[in-house]
Amino acid sequence: MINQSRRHFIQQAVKLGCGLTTGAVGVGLLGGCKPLTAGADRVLFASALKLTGSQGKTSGYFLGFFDKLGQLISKVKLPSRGHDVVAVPNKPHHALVFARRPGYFAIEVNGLTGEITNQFKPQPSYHFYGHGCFDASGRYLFCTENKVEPLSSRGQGTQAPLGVITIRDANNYQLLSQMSAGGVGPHQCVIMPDNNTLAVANGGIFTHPDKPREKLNLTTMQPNLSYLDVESGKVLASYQPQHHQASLRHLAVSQTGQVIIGAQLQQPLAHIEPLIYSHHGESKLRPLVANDNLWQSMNGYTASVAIDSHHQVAAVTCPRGGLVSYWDLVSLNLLSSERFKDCAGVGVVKRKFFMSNGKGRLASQVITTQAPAGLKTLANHNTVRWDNHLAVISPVVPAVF
Amino acid sequence: MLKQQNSTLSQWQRYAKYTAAALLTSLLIACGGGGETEDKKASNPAPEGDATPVVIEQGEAFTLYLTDMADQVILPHYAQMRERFEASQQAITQFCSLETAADSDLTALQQSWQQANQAWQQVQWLKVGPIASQNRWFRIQFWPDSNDAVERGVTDLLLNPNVIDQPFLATQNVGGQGLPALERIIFADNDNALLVASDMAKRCEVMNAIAANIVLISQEVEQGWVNTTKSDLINGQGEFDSTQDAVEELVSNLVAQIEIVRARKVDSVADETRAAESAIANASASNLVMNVRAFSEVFQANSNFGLDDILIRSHQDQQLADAINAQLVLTAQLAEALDEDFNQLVQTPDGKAELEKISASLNKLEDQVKVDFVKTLGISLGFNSNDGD
Repeated sequence: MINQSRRHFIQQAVKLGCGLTTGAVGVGLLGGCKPLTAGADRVLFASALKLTGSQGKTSGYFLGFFDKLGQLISKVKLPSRGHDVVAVPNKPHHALVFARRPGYFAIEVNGLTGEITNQFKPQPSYHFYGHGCFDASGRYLFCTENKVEPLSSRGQGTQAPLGVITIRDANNYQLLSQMSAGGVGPHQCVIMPDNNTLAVANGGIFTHPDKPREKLNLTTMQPNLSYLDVESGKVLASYQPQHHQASLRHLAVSQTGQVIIGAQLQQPLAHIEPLIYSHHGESKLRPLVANDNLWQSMNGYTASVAIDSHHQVAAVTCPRGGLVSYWDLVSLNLLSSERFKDCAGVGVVKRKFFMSNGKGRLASQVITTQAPAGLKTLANHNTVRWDNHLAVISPVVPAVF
Repeated sequence: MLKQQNSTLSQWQRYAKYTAAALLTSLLIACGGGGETEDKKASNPAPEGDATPVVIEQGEAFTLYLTDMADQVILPHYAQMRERFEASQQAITQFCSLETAADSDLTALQQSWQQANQAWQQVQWLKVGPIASQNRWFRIQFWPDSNDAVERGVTDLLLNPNVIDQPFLATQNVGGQGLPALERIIFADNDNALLVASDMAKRCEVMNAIAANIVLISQEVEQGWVNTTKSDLINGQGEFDSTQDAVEELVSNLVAQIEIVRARKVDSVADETRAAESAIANASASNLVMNVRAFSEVFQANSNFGLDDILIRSHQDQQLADAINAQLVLTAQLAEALDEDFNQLVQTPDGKAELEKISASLNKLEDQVKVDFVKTLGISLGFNSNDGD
C-alpha cells in the first residue's frame, strides 16, 4: 500500500503531464517530455521470443527488440521462456520482461545495447504470473503473483487461494508491500488513469508449480475483473464474465478509463461465448458485439489487447483463430477482422497497430474505423517465434527526472 | 468418384507403404481392408534392384506434397462439392415442380442432400484459401449451433412475407444459409414434413434460395483455388509465407479437425452434452466416416506424395509413417463399424463403448501428428496458438 507522501508525490508527477500508460498496451507521449539524445530517439518494440535452429529445434528463449521497420536491434537470452514485457519509465529504451507463469525471474534490459541492467526474483514461496505494470509516475511496479503452498497440504474441496499484487520500488525493485488481487490466478494488470486504481484480470484458474501447466479447478473457477485501491489495498469491485469458464487474461485501458478485457474459454469446443468485454463504470461487464461465427472463429482464445484512445479503437489478437479483430469502443461493435496466423503481440504507436506472430512475422495496420487495408508486413524473421505480447519502448525520458 | 491420377511415388515406395499398413492392420483387427492399389507414376524412382528410397531434401518434399494435395485432394473435392451442391439444387427444383410429390420423390430429395453433405464433410477440415474468408465456411455449415441459430434462421425465413431469394438470403443470419438449414426443411417430420406442409410454396422458395447460396459459395471457392490459391499453396506465397508455412497450415487444419471430430462429434455426443451433427438427417455416423477418410487423404495426399512420404524420404522414418497410417486405418474401421443410427447408439452402454473406442483412437492419432510428426519434421503448428498463455 502507498502512504500519503508517496501518493502526493505521484500526483505532482502526473500533473507535469509526463504519464506513461503501462502494460503490454501502448505508450502515450504528453507535453513536457523531452527526447533523450539525437540519434537514440527511435521507438522500439520488445517481445519475448523463441529462437529456432535447424530443423525447427529450440535454440533458446530471448527478449528481443525491434524498430518500426521490423529490424532487430538486440536480443538477450533469458533463463527460460519469457512472457509479458513492459517499458521501464525513467529509463529510455529499457524494458522489463517477466518469466512465463509460474515464473521466477524479471529482467530489465537496455534495448539499444542488449545489456541486462537489473533483475529480481519473487520473494520465497511466491511465483510471478507473467505480468506487471508501472504506475503513472514511474515510482512503483505492480506484479501479479501467487503464494505457493504445498499441494499435499491442501484438503479436498479447499478453495483455491487468491492471488496477490506486490508493490515494488520501480528504481531498485525492492518489495514494499502487497495486497490481495481480488481473485484466483491474477494475470495482467494495468494502472487506471486516476493512478490510484489498479485493474486486474483474474483468470480464476488455480495452478501449482508442482503441476505447472495443469488447471486444477476448472469446474469451480470464478474469473473476474477486479479494481484495487492501491493506497488502501482494498478490492473496490469485481465483475464476472457471462460464463464462469471464460478465464479473463489480458486487458488494456483507454485514456478515459474504459477497460477492454479478453478471455480464454476453458473447454472451448463445448460452447460459444463472447470472448471480449468492456467495462467503463457499469454494474457488469458488457460483451463486445459480434455474431456467433466470429466468436467461434476465435476458437475460444484471445491473446493481447491494445487500445488507440484517439480513434477509440481496440485491437485483439486471436492466435488460435488466426485473426486480429478491431472494435469500436463507443458502440462496442466489431469494426472488422483480418487473418493473421498465430498472431499474438500488439501495440500502438502513432495511429498504427504493430503486431507480431509466432511465425516470425512483424506487421502493422493503420488504425481506422473503416475497413482496413491489408496488413503491412514489416519483416519476416524465420527463425524467430514471437511470443504472446509486445510492448512499445519509448525513447522519451520524463522531464521531471 | 474422384479422378485418380498418377503420382510421384516409386513402385517400391507404393508397395512398402501399403504392405506395411496392411500388415499392421491385419495384426490389429480381425477383418480389415488395406490400402488402395491404384497405379501411380514415379517421378523419383529408386534404381532397379535398390530398395532404399531416394532421399529428398525436406523443402523439395514439401513442394511435392503441396502439389499433390492441391491436384489430388483439394481441387477434386471442391469440384465434387460444387457438383453435388448443383445436383441438390436441381433436385430441389425438380421436387418443387411436382404437383403432388410422393414418398419416393422426397427420398430422392433427401438423398441429394446426403450426397451434398458428404461432399462437404470431406473438405470440412480445410480452413485456408477462399473458404476462410467472407464467412464462407459458416455459411455452408453453421455448426456447432449452441444458440439454435439454424432453427431461428429457418423460422425467420419461412415467416418472412417477402420473397426469399439468394441475394437476400446471403445478408441474413448465417444459421439460415447453409446445409443445416436445408436439412431442417428437407428432413422435417410431422406437420412440417415436405409432403404435408401447408406452406410448401414458401418452403420451396427458401430451399431454392439456400441451394443457390451454397452453389454460389462452392463456385467461388473452387474458382478461387483454380485462379490463385493453388499456386499460392504450392509456391508458398500469398496468404502463405513459405512452402513450410503452407504445410504447417494444412497440418494445423488436420490436427484441429481431428480434435473437433473427437471433442464435438464423438465425446460431446457420448456424454450427451449436445446433439450430434446432422442428427435430423441421421447422417452423424456417415459424417464421421467421411471425416476420417479425409484424414487419410490429407496424410497420404490421397495415395500420392503424402506426409508419410515426407517422413520416409526426408527423415527415413518409415516406422512413424507406418504407425500413423495404421492408426488411420484402425480409426476408419471403427468409424465404419458404427451403427448408422447415431441417435440410438448413444442410448446403450455398448454404443457408448464404441464411441469411446473411436475417441481414444482419434486421441492417439492427434498425438501422433501433433507431437511425433511435427517434432520429426521440425515444423511449428503455431507457437502462440498451441502453447500460449
